[in-house]
Amino acid sequence: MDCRYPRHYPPRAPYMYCDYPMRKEVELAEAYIPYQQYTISFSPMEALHAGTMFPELVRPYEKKGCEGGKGR
Amino acid sequence: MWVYEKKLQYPVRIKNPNPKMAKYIITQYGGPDGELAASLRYLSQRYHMPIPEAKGVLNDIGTEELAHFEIVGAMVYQLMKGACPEEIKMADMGTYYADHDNAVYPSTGTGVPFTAAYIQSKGDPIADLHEDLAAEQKARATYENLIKLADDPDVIDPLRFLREREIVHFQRFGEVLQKVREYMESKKYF
Repeated sequence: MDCRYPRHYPPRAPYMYCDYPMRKEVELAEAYIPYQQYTISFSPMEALHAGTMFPELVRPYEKKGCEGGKGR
Repeated sequence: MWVYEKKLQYPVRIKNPNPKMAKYIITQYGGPDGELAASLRYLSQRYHMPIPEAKGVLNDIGTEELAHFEIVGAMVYQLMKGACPEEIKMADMGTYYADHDNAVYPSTGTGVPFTAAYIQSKGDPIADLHEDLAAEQKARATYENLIKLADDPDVIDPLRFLREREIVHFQRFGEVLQKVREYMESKKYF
């Protein structure tokens, strides 16, 4: 089952997000963020450029144009 | 204590002064979701964290925010450097110029000076960590707004770097929240 984070950005760590160790039972009225697990690392120069050494944490922001105020 | 490295965490080389962009960006220097507020928030909250991992993460991220404070300061400085009063007036920066000339002062773009009222140090680790998670999201959103306002690649490039760091910090605070919660639960059953 492919359950990677939908926003794909190469090079992507071959890691399944559903394998991240979460608590077995989650409770109401609590916020949960899974632990990151080390897979692969960018080179220092790539990491400086990306803002992180972890490919799975890369979330690039693309500036969109402004169409009738919907450029968000 | 700290050890200072005489270089920016990410290079800033802005060739063209742009006082209007300086007015927008300065909020990340001394504004409510800015880097100074973030740094002081984490460096103050770290004392009452219950586990060493949480103290460590707040210490490290609070330190990195100081490096970001320096990056944003360099951006404002370079954007204001060489801008003449006429350009500053055109950019609607006249009120800032009257008080500060071309200098870098921690305030919002509309001139509200920095205040510790932007941050909280609640003494409740869960409450504080939720504030920290929210702070990272607010800073990310601010950087996205600034990227939308910018058209100079020299300006956009460091903004993109700073935005990505907010995402990484959010992940780290989320992991700390889990660790703190597990620690507090383990104490409950003793």
